[in-house]
Amino acid sequence: MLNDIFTTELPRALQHLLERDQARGSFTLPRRDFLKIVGIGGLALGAFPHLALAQEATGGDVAPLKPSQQPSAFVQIASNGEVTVTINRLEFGQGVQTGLPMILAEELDADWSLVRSRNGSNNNAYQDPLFGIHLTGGSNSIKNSFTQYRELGARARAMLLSAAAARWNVDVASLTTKAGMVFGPAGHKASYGELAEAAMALPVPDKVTLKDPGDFRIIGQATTRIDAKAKSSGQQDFGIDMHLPGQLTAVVARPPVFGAKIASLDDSAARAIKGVKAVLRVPLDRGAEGVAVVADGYWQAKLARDALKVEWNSTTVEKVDSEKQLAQYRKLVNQPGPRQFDADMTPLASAPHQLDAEFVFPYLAHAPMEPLNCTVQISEGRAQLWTGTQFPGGDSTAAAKVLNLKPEQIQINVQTAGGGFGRRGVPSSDFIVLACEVAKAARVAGLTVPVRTLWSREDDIKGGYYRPMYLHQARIGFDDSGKVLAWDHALIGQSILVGTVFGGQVKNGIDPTATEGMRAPYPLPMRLTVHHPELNVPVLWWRSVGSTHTAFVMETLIDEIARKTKQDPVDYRMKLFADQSPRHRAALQLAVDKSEYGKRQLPAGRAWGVAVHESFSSVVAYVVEASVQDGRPVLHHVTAGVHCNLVVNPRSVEAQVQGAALMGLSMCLPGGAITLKEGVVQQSNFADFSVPRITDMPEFAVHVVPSAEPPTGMGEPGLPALAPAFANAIASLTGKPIRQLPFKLA
Amino acid sequence: MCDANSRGRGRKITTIEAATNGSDPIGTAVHEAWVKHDVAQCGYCQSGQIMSATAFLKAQPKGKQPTAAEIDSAMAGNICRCGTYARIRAAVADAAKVLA
Repeated sequence: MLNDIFTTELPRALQHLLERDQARGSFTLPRRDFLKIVGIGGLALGAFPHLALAQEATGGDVAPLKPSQQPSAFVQIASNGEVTVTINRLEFGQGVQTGLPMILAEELDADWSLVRSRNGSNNNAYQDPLFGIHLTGGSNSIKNSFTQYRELGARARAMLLSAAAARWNVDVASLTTKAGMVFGPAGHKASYGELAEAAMALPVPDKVTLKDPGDFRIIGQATTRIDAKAKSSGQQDFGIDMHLPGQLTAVVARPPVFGAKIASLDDSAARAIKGVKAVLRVPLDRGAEGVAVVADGYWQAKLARDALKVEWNSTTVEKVDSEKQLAQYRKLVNQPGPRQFDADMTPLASAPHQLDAEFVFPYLAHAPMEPLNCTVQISEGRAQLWTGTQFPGGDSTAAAKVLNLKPEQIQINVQTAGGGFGRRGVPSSDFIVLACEVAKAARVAGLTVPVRTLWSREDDIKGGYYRPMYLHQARIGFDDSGKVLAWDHALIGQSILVGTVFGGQVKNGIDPTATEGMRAPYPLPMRLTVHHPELNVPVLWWRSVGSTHTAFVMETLIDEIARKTKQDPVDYRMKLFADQSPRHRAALQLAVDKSEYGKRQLPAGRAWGVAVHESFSSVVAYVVEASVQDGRPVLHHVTAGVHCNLVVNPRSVEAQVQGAALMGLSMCLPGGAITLKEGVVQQSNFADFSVPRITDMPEFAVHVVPSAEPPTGMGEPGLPALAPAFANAIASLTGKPIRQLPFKLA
Repeated sequence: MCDANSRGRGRKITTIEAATNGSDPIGTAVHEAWVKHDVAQCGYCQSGQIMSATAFLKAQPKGKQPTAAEIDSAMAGNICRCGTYARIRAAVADAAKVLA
């Protein structure tokens, strides 16, 4: 739907997304208004963002920002010395809310105890400096904004120094800074807060010198999240907590099959419920229709939705059935198709050892704890949205199209989100478009107030945009030494990108988000054939994307070749790496050393499992201990070896590795699957789409390879290697490889 | 809302705000342990986690330190999709120690 609008911006964005290993680009900062130094008044507004936004929203006289206009601010220094840093990303658990301010505060020489953080908007200033679009994804926040935020801090510091030099009439070269203070040659000293107003009046310097990383005193320190107190006392607001004056809440009744329409609607009982303001037909994603109930609050809206009598017409839409789908994929897997890699497959027939394997991966829901929501206020010639989104750049265009506005007439106020894992970064902007359709219909019905469209847990679990179902088939020939002679591989699964604004990235019929993680880093003669069947189930990237399945396939098969040729799986991997892949080797060696793999005797019934995988430019290796108890696989202990170059916040890296690993574990345990029957999603909540509990949490140690290279991301790379390491441990106990997720122990 | 109307009738109901505003020594210890261990990621589930931990520690006999298995059992009803469980365990154990 956005094809005609994004032709210039998005291909460039995805090019960066897909060429993750390219050299770091340089970021040129627009000079004008890049930073704003404010008095205490400005800060007071920042302290009550909802109140301020409500005033702004109801005032109606705030001019929309032009696309070329610079942001309100990246840095605000109040007269009391508080430094407020605006983040150009969605904070949804990954910790950029603390990491980006750490980077800026480092070069600013700020007093860390006075550093605050706030969310940005869809303003162009907050675009990813490499993507050229506002997007949180691909584990790119710290990686792509490291230099940007260092330069922001350095420029602000230079202006404060200039202000101090002028005040004391001394040479700027004679000044030093430390923890929010400027010191002069004759015992002068002044706080940043005192200098802020004068500094604001000075020009922004063109060139700044960045610190030697050896002088870092904030970057690299284990730092507690800025939001830790608020999130430990019920004070943190999320998008779902939006409450504007007069605001109504909407829930939407959706058809049981994707794309179906309303056959008949009786809303008399729903309308009779107290607090219900309107029952509205709204267009849904994929040409479907839904019924929106707008009410005073969620409870009234939900009760009224339950009271709707809707008959759905699903005669014209495909009804996907997981079992039939698997049979269809099995037919497809031996058909010729486009090839990602090619190699000579003639050695396969005569290879001394042969291994045939089929892998099946189900659909997966992201299931963030905060259900999807978006609050929309439409006024004359403009609209404001409040939502936790990873993709404000695309969302503003999608919202504008629904509301018959221009993208620059849309302001998206990014809200802290309760998780997302990819579900909040949607090429079709589905939950933004839905909220705009509801608000538009409500306005037509005379409700000229802000409308918050809220999804229930069931709406989310049943709502599609899943990690696709995949089938892999491998035929591998190898010799006694484990040398692979030929590897014939086929991969079947829906494309995430085809039919979206990113469709241009699908080359030769192959979606790179399906195949990423295949073959590399091993020097294998692989032929990879790919099919992307089209099915009536919306699909989406899910934390670590293609590596959710490719790492499992690669790392369990490599392990199996090692076992079949009676080699230690670590030694075998190291032999394959040879003198290549230094980061893989370092991460794996660190995990091996710290876990005492092979040296320490495990309790009876436990086995070691190993896997290593690179995704999003970072490498994570796991050495795990697992057992089978009463037929159920149990993960006891995990040792992680991580290579993400320079670490900005070690506490955050540890948290991201543990969290991503637990999401990887969710793929392995019973209940980690979405299935469909006759077009209807069979799961609806955490009772039947299970995620790990605290009782599933292993002991978990995270170790990081020291490095001074520019940082790479850590939001996703902790996920891929966990499931194969766990599976390898179970396979070495049972003698049977695991080739299906969630694990099925025969 | 349902619970408040039916099962909650005649009972005292408290909230995360009251448990962590400093007036409740156990809630305060749990809040402080949560911050010290930097438990929260997205934070959406943490109010519930903290309430479960506070209720659990309130029910502990004075001076008794909970075992790891008891902590897991008490906290097993709360889901965290971010996977903060390792730090939840550490924070509950730490709060119990502080209160001993």
